[in-house]
Amino acid sequence: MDAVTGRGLWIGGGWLATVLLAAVFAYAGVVKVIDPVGFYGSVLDYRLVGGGLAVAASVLLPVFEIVVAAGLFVPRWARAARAWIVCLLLIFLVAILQAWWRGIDLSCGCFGSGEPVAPWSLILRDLALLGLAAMARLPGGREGKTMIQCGMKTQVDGGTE
Amino acid sequence: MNRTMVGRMLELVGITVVLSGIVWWGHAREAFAAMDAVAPGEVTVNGARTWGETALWVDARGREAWEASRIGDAVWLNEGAFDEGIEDFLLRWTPGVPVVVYCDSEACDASAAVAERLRSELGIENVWVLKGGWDAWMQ
Repeated sequence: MDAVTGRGLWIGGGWLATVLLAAVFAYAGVVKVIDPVGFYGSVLDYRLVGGGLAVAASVLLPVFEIVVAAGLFVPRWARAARAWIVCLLLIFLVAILQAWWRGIDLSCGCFGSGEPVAPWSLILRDLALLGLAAMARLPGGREGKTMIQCGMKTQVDGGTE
Repeated sequence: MNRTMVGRMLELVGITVVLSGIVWWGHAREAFAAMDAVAPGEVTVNGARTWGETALWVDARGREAWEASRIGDAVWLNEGAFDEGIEDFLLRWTPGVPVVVYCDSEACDASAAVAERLRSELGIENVWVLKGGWDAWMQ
């Protein structure tokens, strides 16, 4: 594979990862914005917050998911959106792990309310999305940087600081 | 992470707060208000969930339904076989613990009937009927 083809695949992969990541977050956000009460139940399932905090989370989080999904395509916010997505996925991972540790049956709440889901499948899904977030990038803008966000080092589009 | 990056991240948070306000006033506030609208003696699924494992769940559906699946470790207490189930209930009941009774759906009356008997015959005050019953729980 020559350098040009390799770079083309790298850029194409970055595009694909960006689109997939944005689609997943946008869909998850929209479903929960439509049914905030259903998502509120899922937030309570994690037994991390309750009352007003759970209500706030069930309104703010879905909107935030949509905002960061859209932000991936806006050059001004692309890197910030990706950083937030990595942060969110790490927070989700911790929430899932603590629920698993405490033996809580989770309905996840990732895409609105629903049936309980095996924790390991949630963890795999979260890790897959983290992989997409590491790959996601769009041509142009400030590429070629190494970012350290939320303790996760994400190498983007070759080059070093 | 440099200042520009932090600034951009905060901008996204700001946009989220503004849009969340629109969502809240648009329909979420109404949805949460409807969730809290319950009859006296009723509790919503979300309200009951906040009690966690401290609540004693009572399944007022048919025995077959209870055997097939139930909420948590619910005890079976059907109105038609009240005397049969009350012994198990009393073995599990602790004074002061919220008791949540459920039947199939919003339309069924079995949970309200069982709850009323628990109040009137046993003098238990902290008894609640699960709004929407099993259907609401499964949703």
